[in-house]
Amino acid sequence: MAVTIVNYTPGITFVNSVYLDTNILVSARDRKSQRYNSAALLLGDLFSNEVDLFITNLVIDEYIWALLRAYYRRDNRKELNQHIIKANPQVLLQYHWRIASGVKKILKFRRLTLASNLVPSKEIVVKAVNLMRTQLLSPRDAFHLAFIMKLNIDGIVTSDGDFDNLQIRRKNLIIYKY
Amino acid sequence: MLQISMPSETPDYQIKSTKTDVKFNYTFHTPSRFQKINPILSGTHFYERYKGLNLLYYQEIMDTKDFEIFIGFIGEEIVGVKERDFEIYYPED
Repeated sequence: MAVTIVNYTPGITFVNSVYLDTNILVSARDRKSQRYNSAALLLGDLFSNEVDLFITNLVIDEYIWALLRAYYRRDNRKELNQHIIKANPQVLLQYHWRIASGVKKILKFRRLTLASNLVPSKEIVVKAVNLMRTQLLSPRDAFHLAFIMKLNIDGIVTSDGDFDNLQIRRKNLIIYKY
Repeated sequence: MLQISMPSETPDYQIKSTKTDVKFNYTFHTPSRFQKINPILSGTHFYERYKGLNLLYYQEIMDTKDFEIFIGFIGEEIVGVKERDFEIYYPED
């Protein structure tokens, strides 16, 4: 049993269940993203293959932050940071409608499971903290992987390399890179 | 003294019904790849939005409802998200 990395090419087949990393949702939505085409094509293939899709609240949180930062940078030509938000929380309202619209569309995906409440939180916390040590993952990535393992999800779609060096003995996991 | 008289049998306004054939002579230009798809996909804006994607392929192999959700989601933003936007830890200024 092992982790297998598969580089996405249009038309490939998928395992039955896949966890969506935030970057595919953002990149498929933003046609100015360098990964727009591949992310959109991959999402199309996941839809057409009728793959069961999984996300958690963490993914939605990251999705919101990514777009919030991009909106702010586009309109103000500078980076959004915590100081700006604390000084002027109205910034959040400025982009709320657009972000809420995107989130609503994600939740409309058929075969999408928002898996946050499918596993007792305590189990996830214990698992994630353990994975930080055994897999040398950041806390956030450890939580993503904890959900994947607890729910026995077959694969993950991502553009980053945070999961490339996993050493998991008791589970097969396919990492679709795009 | 100027006198204006109108025959009583003549109405103040007389509207004659006429039949006019109005012919519009124009042509919609729709990128060929979208011609079989829903008309909302035609036009430059939508062409740009789905540029590089073979939507006809996805329309053919995808469930109708899935396709509707798919095209409603992809490419709707033009914001230029960068890799660092996915980092959850903020570097301090």
